[in-house]
Amino acid sequence: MSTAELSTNVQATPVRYLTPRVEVGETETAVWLVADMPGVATDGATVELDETVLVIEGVVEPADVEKAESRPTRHYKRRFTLSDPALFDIANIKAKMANGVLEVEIPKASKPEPRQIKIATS
Amino acid sequence: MLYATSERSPFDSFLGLRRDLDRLFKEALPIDASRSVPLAFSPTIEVEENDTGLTLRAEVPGVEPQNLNVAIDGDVLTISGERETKFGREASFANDGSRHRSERRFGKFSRALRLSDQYDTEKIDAQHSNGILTLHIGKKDAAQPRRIAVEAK
Repeated sequence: MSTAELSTNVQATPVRYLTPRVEVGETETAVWLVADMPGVATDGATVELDETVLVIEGVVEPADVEKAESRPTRHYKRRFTLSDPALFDIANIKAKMANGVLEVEIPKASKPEPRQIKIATS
Repeated sequence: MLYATSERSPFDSFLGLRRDLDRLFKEALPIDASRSVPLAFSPTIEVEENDTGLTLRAEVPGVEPQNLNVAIDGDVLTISGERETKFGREASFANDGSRHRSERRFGKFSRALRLSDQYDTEKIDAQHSNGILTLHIGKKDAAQPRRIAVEAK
């Protein structure tokens, strides 16, 4: 599966790391990753693909979460592994953050045409 | 290396493994391990008290503002609503069995809290942004800490 998961959940004092709950689904044309990250602003999320590892992150700055004193920064983070990046059109991955939900669309690559391989004659 | 090609989805092998593991756990454990994620959506709530009153934060990601209700009946504060799937991407996954991982929960929810009588149910304001509903409930005037001036002689 493309989302073999290497989840990290580290507890540190000033930052609270949280693992967002996700939904992974597949349509004809794409694989979708939907993650709940309440409190993350529309510009507060990042999606990164490094080789086969897709990392989604979202940060809730304390300022967003009221003036309240002792609230730590909340940091959502989760990693997924794409089985084979060649199966996806990784240049066209799209992400949208709205109403505390991150949606990532990973389009499937169109199937490569069968190729004729010339047989060399000596 | 040359791999055999197949028309199967890249997800299939992992799903097979997951099914096997689920079966193993079901047989080995008396309680269903997959139940660790609750079946229906219910917002996580945090309540904090400060000098001026209570601040309540409810995580309602993906709940449209028009599907969110805050009501007060006597001293009971109720937050209710519905997290819908039908207009979302989720619905299309569910119908054709192409949903590979499903940890998010949907449906109707309702959470009620009884307020102690030091809070003023007339002084409630509600804000909704980025999937968080924030309520502030003020204290009754009498409940505010009273400052007693110390006279210097």
